[in-house]
Amino acid sequence: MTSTRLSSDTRASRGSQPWRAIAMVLLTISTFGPFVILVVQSTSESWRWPSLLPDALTLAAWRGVLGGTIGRAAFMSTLLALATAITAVCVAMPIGRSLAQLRGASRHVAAALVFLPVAAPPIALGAGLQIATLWLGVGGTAAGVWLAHSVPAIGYVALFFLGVFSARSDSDSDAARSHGATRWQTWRFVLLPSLRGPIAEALAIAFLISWAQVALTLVVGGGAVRALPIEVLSLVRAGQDREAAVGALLLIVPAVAALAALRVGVRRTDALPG
Amino acid sequence: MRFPVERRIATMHSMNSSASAATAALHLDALAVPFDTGVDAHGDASGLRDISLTLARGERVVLLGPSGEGKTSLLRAIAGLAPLSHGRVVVNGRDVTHAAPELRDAVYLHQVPVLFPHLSVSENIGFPLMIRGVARVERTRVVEALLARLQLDGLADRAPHALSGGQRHRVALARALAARPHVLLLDEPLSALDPGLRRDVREAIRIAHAESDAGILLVTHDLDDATALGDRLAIMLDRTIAQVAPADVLFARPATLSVMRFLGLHQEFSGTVAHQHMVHTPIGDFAVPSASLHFTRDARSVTVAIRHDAIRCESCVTADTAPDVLIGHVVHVHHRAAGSSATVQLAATTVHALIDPLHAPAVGTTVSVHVDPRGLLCFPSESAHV
Repeated sequence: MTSTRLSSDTRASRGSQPWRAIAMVLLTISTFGPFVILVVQSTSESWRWPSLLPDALTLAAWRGVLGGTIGRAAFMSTLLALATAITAVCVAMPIGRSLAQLRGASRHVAAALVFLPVAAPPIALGAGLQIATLWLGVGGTAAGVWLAHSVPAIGYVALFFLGVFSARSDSDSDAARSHGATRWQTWRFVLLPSLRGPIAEALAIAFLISWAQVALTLVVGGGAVRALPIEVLSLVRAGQDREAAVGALLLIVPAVAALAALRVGVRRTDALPG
Repeated sequence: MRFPVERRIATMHSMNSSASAATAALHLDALAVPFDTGVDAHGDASGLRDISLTLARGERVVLLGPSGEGKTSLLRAIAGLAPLSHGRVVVNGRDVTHAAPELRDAVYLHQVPVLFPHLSVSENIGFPLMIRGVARVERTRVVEALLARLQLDGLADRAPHALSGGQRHRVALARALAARPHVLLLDEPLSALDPGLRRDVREAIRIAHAESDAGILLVTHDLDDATALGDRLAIMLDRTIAQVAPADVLFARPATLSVMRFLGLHQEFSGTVAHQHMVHTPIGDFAVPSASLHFTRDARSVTVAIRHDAIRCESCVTADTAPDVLIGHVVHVHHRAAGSSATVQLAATTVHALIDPLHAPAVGTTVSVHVDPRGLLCFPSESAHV
């Protein structure tokens, strides 16, 4: 009876194999296809319909990255994303910890408030933040965009730390304080070192939120702050496909790097005993 | 670093509670402690009330009580890790009621040892010294001394996750000693440990005690642990401390019916006061203990408690057996590590009587039951002090 079931399972498995293969091929094409096209586009002299491949290849667009608008935009985006990441982690970590210490309805209400800028459409958030940044005198500046990026980033990262701290007890900070550590020493010598992994993940999340931000940069920056997504958008609209492809590929780099870092982190965690 | 144990014990026994408040390691004055979650395990929102206790320097007091009674809440409140709603906490003569946890000189040790995972064993032990800015040379000297005294040699560089359960307890105790507190608050350090590890941790606590003049307040559920580790036992019942006494006094004279029932060392019988000096029970008439005379003057019905080890069973019933000896038949025999007993059906009631495990009577055997009147206590039917 067992062998009958095994053989029928094997048949079913074999029967589903072609469909599985087709699904894998489709997934691979949909995942990597756009990137392959971007790579080819960024290195092609000219690539027009109905040619299947470019007529000639060139690295001219890539050479222009360092000194050109894409390079400057990438630098601006990096600065904005770094500032946003650091701000978000510094502000959101204590918020997440405080939320984790709340009990009952107040916890749900506070978590919902933190979630609001995350859930709100970026364009709506941008409209509100534009007014706020104008009041503060930083409208249309990198500082204003940094503030605007920080709002959703803080929301995301606070929710991330809410999860982190909810899964931890207060026993280590209690132990530290009971042994004579002040609040600051507890953070400095106990909580921060033991939270290295989550902090790195939170920095990556906030960096990526800022890095990919279009609506907030456009609305609050007013076109004056030329971050990479804005530059790519301009290039696409102007029909400069080769330069746009280079910019788009640069936009992908941090996400791929973050995924790779997470993968390494998971491997290291798996390697820990216990 | 070693505190003269003899002097400490002499000091401890010479103290009386009223004189000791200023010089005691710990003095609790009418504390009221709300529960962390608002209510206790039974849904009661009243919290702990009127907790008063004094620990002499170097004294070990064990806090015993049913689960959910608030023992952990009390320890955390003393350490400043949970709020107080009323009362005063005095550590080494200093009022720390409103002080931050780090300024109390009272180290709270969690039931499961909490070691900082990113620090090695020696760094964990040296943590209290490091945050106080103690020089590295001095820190190393103290850590090495503690490693040796708590039998942790060779483990200095090991990570906490690479330690056994007993070693983790020892490191936690060593770290607490490095802080040189006036009070050590140990929250059920022996619960959920296997017998071998239990012995190991008990020994570590004894070493910790010998190395420090800190008062130790320790929570446990186990009477054996309590008697092994405590100079005095404090019984927590109904959200307050019902009795504090050395183990021998506590076991011989539980202050209330509730304490007696919690300790579980006695069998209860309903009794009727025949006259002030005599009480009638289903297992015979007994002289009222002198400590109970003050209420048997007025009370009519009482609860009579007889220590389990004061009721013994004899197998031999002969024609010569005196007529006032209790006669019954065995309905069940219990063999336990602590001793064997038989349930004996008497004419009017059932008793549990100690038996010789090597000559245990068979079920159905007729036996005689002997009661040692020295193991008898009387309580008013409602709980009140003896």
